[in-house]
Amino acid sequence: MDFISNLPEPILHHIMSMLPDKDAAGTCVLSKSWYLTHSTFPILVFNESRFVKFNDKYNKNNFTTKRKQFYHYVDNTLLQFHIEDLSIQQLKLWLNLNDWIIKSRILPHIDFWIELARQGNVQVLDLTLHGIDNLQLNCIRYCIPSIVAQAKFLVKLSLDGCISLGEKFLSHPIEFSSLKVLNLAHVYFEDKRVFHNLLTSCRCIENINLSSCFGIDSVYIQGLSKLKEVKISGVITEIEIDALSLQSFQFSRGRADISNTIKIDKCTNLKELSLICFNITHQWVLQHYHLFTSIQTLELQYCCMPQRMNFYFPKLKVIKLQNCVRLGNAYIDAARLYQCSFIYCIVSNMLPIVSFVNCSTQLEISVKLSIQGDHFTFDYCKLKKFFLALQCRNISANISLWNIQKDENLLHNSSNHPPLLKHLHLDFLLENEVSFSHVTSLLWSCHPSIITCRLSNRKLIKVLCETLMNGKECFCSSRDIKCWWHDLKDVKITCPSLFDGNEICFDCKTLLEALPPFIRGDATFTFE
Amino acid sequence: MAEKASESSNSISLNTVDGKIFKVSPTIANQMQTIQSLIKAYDSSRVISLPHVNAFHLSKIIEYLEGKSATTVSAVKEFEAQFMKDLSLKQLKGLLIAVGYLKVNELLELMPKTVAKLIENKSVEFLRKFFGIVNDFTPSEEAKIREEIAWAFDGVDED
Repeated sequence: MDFISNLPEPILHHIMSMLPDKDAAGTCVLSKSWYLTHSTFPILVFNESRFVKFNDKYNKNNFTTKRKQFYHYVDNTLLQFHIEDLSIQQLKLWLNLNDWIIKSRILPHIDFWIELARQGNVQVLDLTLHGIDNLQLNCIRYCIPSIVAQAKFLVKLSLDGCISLGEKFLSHPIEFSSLKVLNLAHVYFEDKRVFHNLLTSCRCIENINLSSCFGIDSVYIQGLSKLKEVKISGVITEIEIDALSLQSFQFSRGRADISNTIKIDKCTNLKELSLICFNITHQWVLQHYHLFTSIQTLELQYCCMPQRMNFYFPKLKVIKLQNCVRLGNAYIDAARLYQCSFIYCIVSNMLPIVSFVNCSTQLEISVKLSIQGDHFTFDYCKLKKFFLALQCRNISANISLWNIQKDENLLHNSSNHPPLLKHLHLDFLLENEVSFSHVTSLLWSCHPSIITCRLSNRKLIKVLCETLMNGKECFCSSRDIKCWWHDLKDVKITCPSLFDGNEICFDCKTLLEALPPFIRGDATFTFE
Repeated sequence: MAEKASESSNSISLNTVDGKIFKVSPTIANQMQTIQSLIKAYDSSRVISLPHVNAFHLSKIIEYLEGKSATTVSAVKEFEAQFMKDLSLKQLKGLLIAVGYLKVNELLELMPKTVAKLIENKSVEFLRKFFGIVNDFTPSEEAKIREEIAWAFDGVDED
């Protein structure tokens, strides 16, 4: 009995829409009824690299034949839909444009395909033209035909690659009244008014994603009452958005030598804010301070920030700080915060001292530090201050060290405070830099209850084990302090290849002896 | 208590094709779009008959709508996985038709996704055997179609 074939066609199409393009196309070989079902499947995906493989270009004949086969296949499929007057829900064209000759041959084809799709009332149009030079301003580009502007049923338009939008879009009326999603990447605008003309015609637009486009340097958005999400990256110097409905805004600066202004102070319902490489000034913070009452997710990467910051985020849930410079001290009042992450690739003096006021016991902080010594001696006191200021029970840290200075005077006494971290994953990228004094200083500044490290980090394991077994010169006899190695509870090895992922308990002595070379897995040292 | 009583007095009666009557709360009924529009069209006291749905399928749909109101995301996922696992292929097909007719949006997402997972990255031979699809092509017809879409058969698992 056939368990699937005589399901109603819309359901079969729905199932096919959830398959990768290969599997969806493959169904047409199953039986005659599946062939028919497939022939009306309204999601058309044409991916040239499925036909023409990278290696084919070394064999010119083969290459040309395969290309022709591909064009022929697209032509035939689209014509079939046109002749039978079938609607086309989605047309996705992913093409490679690598040289002049190919470009001049393929461009007229694309016009034809797009026109057929438009007549089939296409709702989703996704055109990606990969070229090796599509990051260059002056690469050969495909000019979107003005007929596209009359695709009334278009809901989503994605253009990526060697594509330009010409001046004809200034004189032609654009009828994108149903358009909700607009993704433009690497697209060249012949005139900056084209972009604004385009935007003002999209009355229903919800998502705008503008990535590394050429020919526009400013974005002004106003009067789009359904706008929810805006993502902008690239060389855009001025952004101004006035949309009460906006929920998510992301900006990423394309070039370090260009300064930008962002004005989003009227978007008072903003929930997600992500700024990458943006210069956050005091003035900007003051101008946008009222937005912080609605923000739930905040992400700041490579931003230049004021020295001191004092934030009140009543609704903030997630915050991510990555390599932001100049920030010295920050006080964050966020009672609902439950997830916080710091990612810093640093010399120690860049690490900000962040304190959370009113934070909940649910708060989990993850810290990823990549410490590079270079010309500086790493400041373990600063690291300790950083962890002390966080005052959180749920900190897990991943610290990797590289190129650190050999300084045997680093030893710090371990004071007898409760662990600052729940979990520390330690990684010395250069084996020969592992030393007792560095490990001791590091553990003094972090004081974790669990240390893990890669089993391949043999020297680190050796230093840990030897210290744990023999102890060293002790500091804890006289004063109210305690050395880190007194508290060891047990040592475990997790190693998928050797022990089937089972955890095996070792004591230090057997661990040192049993450790085979070149082995994947972690060693875990648990302290009381 | 009072709230419960008013809910039961509001409950909607559904009559399946095999003559079984189900009483469901308005919140459950409204998640089936077809029924939602029928409630609007008739007055709510009437029994709504569903000529295309049998008792087993309706009970499964109700089971799903009641079960997926679990509190956490992971609990819902677990419930959905178990719900789909308990269905035989034959039941899956019948239920899909019922779900399509009643327009239960969440199941209309979940069930095709499950079927798609069964199809993904499988060979033609495997799919025919698995779903009991009879190949009514002649060998030469099949060879021709395979050639037309040769690109789709790059690197598919053989089992």
